[in-house]
Amino acid sequence: MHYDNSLALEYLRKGCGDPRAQFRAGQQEAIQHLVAGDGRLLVVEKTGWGKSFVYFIATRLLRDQGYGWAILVSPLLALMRNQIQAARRMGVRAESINSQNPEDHDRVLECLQRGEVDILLVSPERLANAWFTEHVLAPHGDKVSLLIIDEAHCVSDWGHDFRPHYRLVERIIRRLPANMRVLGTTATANDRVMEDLTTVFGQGVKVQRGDLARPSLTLETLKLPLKAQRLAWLSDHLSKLPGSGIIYVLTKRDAYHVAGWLRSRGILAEAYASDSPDRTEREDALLNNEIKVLVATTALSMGFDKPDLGFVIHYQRPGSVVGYYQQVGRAGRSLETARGILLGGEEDDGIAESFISGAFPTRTEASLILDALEGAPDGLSIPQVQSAVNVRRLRIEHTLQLLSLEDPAPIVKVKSKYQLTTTPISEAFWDRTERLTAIRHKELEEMCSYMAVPFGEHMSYLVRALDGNPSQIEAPRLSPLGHAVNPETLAAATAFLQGNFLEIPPRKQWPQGGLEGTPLKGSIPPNQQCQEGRTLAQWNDGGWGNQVRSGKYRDKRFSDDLVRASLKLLRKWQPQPSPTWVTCIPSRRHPNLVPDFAKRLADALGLPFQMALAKTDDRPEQKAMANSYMQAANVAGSLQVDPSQVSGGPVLLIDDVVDSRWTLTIAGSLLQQAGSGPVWPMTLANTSNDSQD
Amino acid sequence: MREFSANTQAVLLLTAPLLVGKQGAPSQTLNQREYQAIVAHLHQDGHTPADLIAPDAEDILSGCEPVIPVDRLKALLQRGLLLSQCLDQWSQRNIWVISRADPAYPSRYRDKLKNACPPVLYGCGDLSLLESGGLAVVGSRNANESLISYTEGIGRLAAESGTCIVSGAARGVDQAAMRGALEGGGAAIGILADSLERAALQRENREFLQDGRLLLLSAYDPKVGFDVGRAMGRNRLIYGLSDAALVVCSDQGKGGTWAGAVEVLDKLRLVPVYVRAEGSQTPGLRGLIAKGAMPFEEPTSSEAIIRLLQPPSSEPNSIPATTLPLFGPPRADSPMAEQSQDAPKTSADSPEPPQVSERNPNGSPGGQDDPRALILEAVRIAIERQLQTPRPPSELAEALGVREGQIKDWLKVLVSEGVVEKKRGESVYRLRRKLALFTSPGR
Repeated sequence: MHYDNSLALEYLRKGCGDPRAQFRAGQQEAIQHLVAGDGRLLVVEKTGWGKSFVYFIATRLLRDQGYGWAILVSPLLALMRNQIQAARRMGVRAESINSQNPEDHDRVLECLQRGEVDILLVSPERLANAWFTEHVLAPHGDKVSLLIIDEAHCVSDWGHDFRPHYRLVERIIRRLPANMRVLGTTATANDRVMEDLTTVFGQGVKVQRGDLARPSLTLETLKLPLKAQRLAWLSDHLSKLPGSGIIYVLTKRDAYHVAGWLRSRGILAEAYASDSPDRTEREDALLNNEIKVLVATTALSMGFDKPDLGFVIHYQRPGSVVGYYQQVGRAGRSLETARGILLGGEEDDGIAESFISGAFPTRTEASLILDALEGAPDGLSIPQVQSAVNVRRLRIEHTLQLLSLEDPAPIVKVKSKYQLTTTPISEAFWDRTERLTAIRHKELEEMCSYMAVPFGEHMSYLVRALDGNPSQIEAPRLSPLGHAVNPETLAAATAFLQGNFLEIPPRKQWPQGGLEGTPLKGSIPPNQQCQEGRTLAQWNDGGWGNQVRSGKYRDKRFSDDLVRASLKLLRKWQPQPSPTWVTCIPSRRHPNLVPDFAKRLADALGLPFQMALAKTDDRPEQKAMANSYMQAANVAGSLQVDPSQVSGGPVLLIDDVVDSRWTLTIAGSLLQQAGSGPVWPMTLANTSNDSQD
Repeated sequence: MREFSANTQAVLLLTAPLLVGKQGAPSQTLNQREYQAIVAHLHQDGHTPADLIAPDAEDILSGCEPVIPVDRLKALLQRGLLLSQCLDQWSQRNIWVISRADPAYPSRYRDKLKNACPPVLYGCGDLSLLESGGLAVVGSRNANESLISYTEGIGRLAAESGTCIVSGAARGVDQAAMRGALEGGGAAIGILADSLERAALQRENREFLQDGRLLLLSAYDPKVGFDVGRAMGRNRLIYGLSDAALVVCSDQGKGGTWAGAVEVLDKLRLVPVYVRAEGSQTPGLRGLIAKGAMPFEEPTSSEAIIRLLQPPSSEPNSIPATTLPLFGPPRADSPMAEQSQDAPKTSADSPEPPQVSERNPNGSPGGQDDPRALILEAVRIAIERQLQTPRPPSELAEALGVREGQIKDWLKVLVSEGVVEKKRGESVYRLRRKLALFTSPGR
């Protein structure tokens, strides 16, 4: 296979629109190796080195000589739009099939059909997708000449990102015949990761490694235990930071409320999470420096390309050095100075622990699910598993996914149903689970130590942890910012957190397949659905959550502060049509707790309180029900409405804690069937924890 | 994780449809004859199919032009991603693949089917059953109840006698025989013409597959559906894996059972064929007797089944049932040239080159009592000890005090067994790390 360097250079110049551009160190060798050499290559270079030029030019050169198209597997595709532009400038027809561009899928399929796609960008999850297999791989997979794995460190157990589908990527690489060209790229890989990758890519793989340090970056760690302190710190210091930047948060909820706080302080901030609307617009706003800061979950991580990013702040401590460096390393690539600041909070350990312990199913969960499948020769869909076992839906999905990614797999997905194979779940699976969990704990310790590193030594700590060479590292170019926060800002931040009312979206569907033993099935009629409700606090969120907890478990009475806070909430909320009476969810376990609170609130509002609902029998506490089906089934039939106590006007429906929303949904439906007007649910706290991104 | 040998990968790329979905890519895969031709051609130059996917295959490929157009070969060999997707889908369902180049490939097929043996076999279950031989039981899909219970009885007796049942896994007689054997605690091999992927997940097969008593085997892509041609082509694979065959019922002059039995009686002569002698004789069975099948009285004991597998004096074609351990003491006849790095060129003028090409000329028949096997066993120990560091053949010859030519012959055997290897471009031999290639599924 012929390699023409002058042609490669011509493509580079077209691609970056600079007629005098030269290859960066290593780029040309990488392209040549892919095109003319043995074809297996691992490139470890920091972000901004220009990995995309390597694979786009290699693709172009292969296509020029009549070879088939290329597939680029990357965890994040939406953000590669600027790379796709560069690809098109050098005549590389790049397309993507992802969850955000369903409107393009048919067109891309037609282009594939006509051989008019040079490189297709897909996520690792897409590779496992049945539609993709059927419509892209089955008809066109015979002509793929180059496979590119972006963020290749995820293939290794030691890579910081545990992405289950990289297990599939790993197996695909291992099973490729030796004549298939494969390129793996990553910005961060320590020796352990490289060892794993070399084994997966095969003995013949060539490894190319660049320098890690980023002299423009001034790193700092600040311990600010309370969320209010961190919010205040951000408000006080953001304006002093260079250019535009990113604040990384761990949950979607944090993304929205940190951005909300900053906006309330007059800072141009947007939230960015996997469920944000207008993600593209928000990326563009950051790219074009139209906002000061994007408050993002890890949905915005890999592939985001902004050379003049002025700062990266972490609102909580990430789980590993590799992951942290990957994110903080995005700052200051083309700048003289930039900042990377890690704010450590009191909730960090708890979050880190829940991420680690939630990564794998427990033996009990796995055996419950496998037993359910054992009893179903034709397999079970996810909703069917949900109705068979008392395990949270997310945990069920996660367990099914992990087990079906094993090799050989104990279960396999055939159409929409999971079926047992002849392979029993192996001890090796649990060994690996334990090993990975131990690795995560070790990584966490390393990150905790980083928090304590004195100013000036952060970069060498990171480079050493990544097995790089710390000898050439310069002193930080900027001076430290310090912990100081203005007391007034702190007070404002505390008030903001207490006013952080969350919405309770109404449920519109009964559980999939209907509730056994009830007529509840399909859509909930609009005139029986609840209105969008409000909750005063997140159970663990530093606002009113603590008072709700002590009221429920210690004092057996919700405080008058909570009544006042609820009044404030209602004033801000202004539900229309406004409630004319108040009722609450009954409980046989705590018969007075919620009615007492609801009565005081009703008095303060000057509205009548009517006990319109009753519990007919003792059911287990709703929180013992792990998934939606179980929760709905637990409530249905145990709630009863007393029509004599139902007024015709809109009603405020009070409960202490909302989680699955089934209690409120069923109560709302009963009240309206008994003649009530619209139902406005309101609770003191929300314990649902579905906001991890 | 199950590994697949480079040769198996290459053979799949050349011959298999590689279906990952319902609509496959229209590939011009090599048919049996074309595949034979390319293997023969490669063999002449001392190459194996695996060499076609090695990084420096360009020259070898262009050398193939006279046999198969290079562009066609390249297009087939470029299907690497598809191949890896297939291997993954199969492996997930515990389906393995072996090619004629793999030592696990059933020796009965090699010996009996010769050039007609399928290039690749897909299967689910314990691979070692492939060498167990046994009794093939064939018959109609629409058999009446008394025939079904007769056949189940045969299956149970086979189980009692430790004989494996080989069958087509179709409705009716096939399944009755397998059911009898499996429920009687014995073993069965079902040779499928379609839908292996589905069968591998079927609940009624699961326990037996996990116990290592059931083997499902197919020469066709695990995704393909029913097709008359494939169903017919599968007949010889049933007979070929057995030591004797029993036809329970058959139409006269038509139908798959008739065609399959007649093909064996008239042409292939793979194994002795018996027909059920008990009960009412049908024209079909009488017709088969006229063609040389032997009547078989209703067996009343497991000994009768064992006798059935003994070679009758009048049937020179039959092969005694031997249960050769797959990974135990070396089988001197197992090596194949397809695996060997530098196979001898003796086949160039053979009338049936591919057949020769898959056999090692140094190989000899016989099991562990064969003196040649004993010598080889000693040699293996000595050479393995010597190769703690890689050495050229000349040094080995000196160390062991034998001619260099003799050492080279032995090395060939060890190479083909995967014990030692010689890297391309090197002159030394080295010990190979043990591969997980033949680990049985479900263990």
